[in-house]
Amino acid sequence: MRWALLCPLVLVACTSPVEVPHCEEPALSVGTATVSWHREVRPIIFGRCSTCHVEGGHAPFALTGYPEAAAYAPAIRDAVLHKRMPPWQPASCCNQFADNFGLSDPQIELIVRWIDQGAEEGDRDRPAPPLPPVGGLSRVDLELTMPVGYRPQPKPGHVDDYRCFLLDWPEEQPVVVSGLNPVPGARPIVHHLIVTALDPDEAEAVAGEVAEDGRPGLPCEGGLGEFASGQVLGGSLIGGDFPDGIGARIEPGSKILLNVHYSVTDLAPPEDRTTIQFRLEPGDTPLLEVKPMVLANPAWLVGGAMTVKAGEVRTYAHRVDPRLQTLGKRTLLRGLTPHMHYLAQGMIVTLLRDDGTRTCLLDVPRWEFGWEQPYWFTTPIPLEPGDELQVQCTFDNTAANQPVIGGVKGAPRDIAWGSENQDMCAAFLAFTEVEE
Amino acid sequence: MIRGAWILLLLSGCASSTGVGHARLLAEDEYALTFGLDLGVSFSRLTPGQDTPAPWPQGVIGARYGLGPVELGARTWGWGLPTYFYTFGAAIDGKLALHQSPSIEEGFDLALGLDVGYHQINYQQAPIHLLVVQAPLAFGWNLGGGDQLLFGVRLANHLMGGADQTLVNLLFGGFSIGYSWRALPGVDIRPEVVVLYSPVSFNGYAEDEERRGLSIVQIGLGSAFSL
Repeated sequence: MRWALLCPLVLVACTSPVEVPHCEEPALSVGTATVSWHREVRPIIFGRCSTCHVEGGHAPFALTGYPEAAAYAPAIRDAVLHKRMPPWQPASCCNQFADNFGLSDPQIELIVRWIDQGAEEGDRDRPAPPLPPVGGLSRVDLELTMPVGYRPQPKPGHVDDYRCFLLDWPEEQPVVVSGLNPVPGARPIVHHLIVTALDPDEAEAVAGEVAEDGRPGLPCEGGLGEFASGQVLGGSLIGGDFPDGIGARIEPGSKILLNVHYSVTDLAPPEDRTTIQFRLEPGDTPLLEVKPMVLANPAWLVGGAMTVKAGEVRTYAHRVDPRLQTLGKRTLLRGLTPHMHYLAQGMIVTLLRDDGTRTCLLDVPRWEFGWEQPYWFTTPIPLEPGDELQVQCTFDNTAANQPVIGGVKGAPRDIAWGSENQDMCAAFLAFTEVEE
Repeated sequence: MIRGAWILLLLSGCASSTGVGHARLLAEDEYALTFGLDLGVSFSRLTPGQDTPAPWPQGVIGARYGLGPVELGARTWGWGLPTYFYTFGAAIDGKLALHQSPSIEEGFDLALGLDVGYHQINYQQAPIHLLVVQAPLAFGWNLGGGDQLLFGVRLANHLMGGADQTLVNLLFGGFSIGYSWRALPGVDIRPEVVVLYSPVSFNGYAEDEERRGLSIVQIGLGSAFSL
């Protein structure tokens, strides 16, 4: 705020971040009516959990039958009550998102009550609801797998290893990717991955690239590097169909660049061989022209400009006028992807209207490093010229919130913006222009 | 994408390092107006082992005044697009003669400068402020006809801050090479190259030598009109 005082002194327009509190979820109240697996709980579990907790899904065990659900009941109670599962981060008091697989408070209340009442099975003859597709993808038209396995090797004392792999695109006609689902070969160590399509020219430019360390793939720590011009298709482990009108047109001769962020807290990581499943449409399928916008302070990249000292809880915010990206046109915000690392505690993204009102775009009250994914707004949000955007991140660098490396909880140390045990604060927004 | 934002930020420019003039001081009570155009390129180690370049142009105007053994100067610079991004700054400097040749037609001149300035990068209406201090040591070899070949070394410190940023101190070391051509009586044309390097990290506090380093190269074409 002190810096804002400089603005009138030097006769320039400038903004200053405002402190935004987390929105408040209503308190949970547990009712008394009897709840059973087949009548109340199974539809919730199938609808919200079974994309992953199914045979062949991301989760380590299935939750598709009563015996499994009853066996895991205490763990389920703990996980849903403390919102550690499902891995859905946005608070429902802020905004509504498409394909929301988070649990509402009434749903949590029902599950908790079911377990507290003894996890009754109920009527076995009750017809089961349909299971969602595994990985959230309604149809798998193409699968591409890393050509060879890769065993990550972070530097000593570090947990991160970023590696890029090039996959040949086999389609002989132009197609549109309308959904994808990453299937990690070694789920515990694959934190997230970025799937990028390189057009034939870009693909030719990188063909034959070999890593100097002689290991599979190419090192790509610090971003996409020379591949930065590729078309990003997805950036998380949570798969699914894209919303209507969202997709990417891929030409024959393209390559898929898989940038995998391995997060290794074990001294002997397994080998990974990740597969990407794609849903495809004909090449002439109409698409919205979605543009990216990053909400982060570039100055934070310099040295210790985003320092969080050891033992400190610290909030950083950045507020901008986004006309450099929107060129002053009316636009529609379609969705966003939050990005932080281990020591992040929460993020709030706010639209600050020209008329002084605020719209909560995203509120993540409890950040979980492994749960990063894009969130698409149920209803696109208009962004008018003069509106501003703010990202606000809170970091907890106390002893209680340190990652475990090689079975040992680390000691707090000063961190700032970066990879390799540092942290970040960025929201990647997607927007479309409004036809005037 | 964050790398792209950083490049856009750097396209907004850095404080001008050119335009502090000759190693030979102006005579007492002599004035000069200076006009110049800088082309700057920064190289930052955002990606391990790779320098990410970002160029920017910049206009510079200034004035200088001779006070005998000392010369005072002031200059201002800037460029950009209002509302979207723009940059501007101003600096004042003093130059002390350490050695002056009896004649500009022969020998060499040596001068030590101290330059204090403010620079603002206003990117998306979220300004970044820099307090810039430079100490150039300029050696000028007089070639006759009022021409001078200039070599310099310098230390510079950029103190960077803004809303919700921890203050960062960027210490630069660098050198400059220039030529001052007396095109007409009282009119000098001065092409100049200034190179600065700071060992700042682009990976927080991680021990990562491959992501350390910000270099700034400024190529200036200046002119000085003695009054």
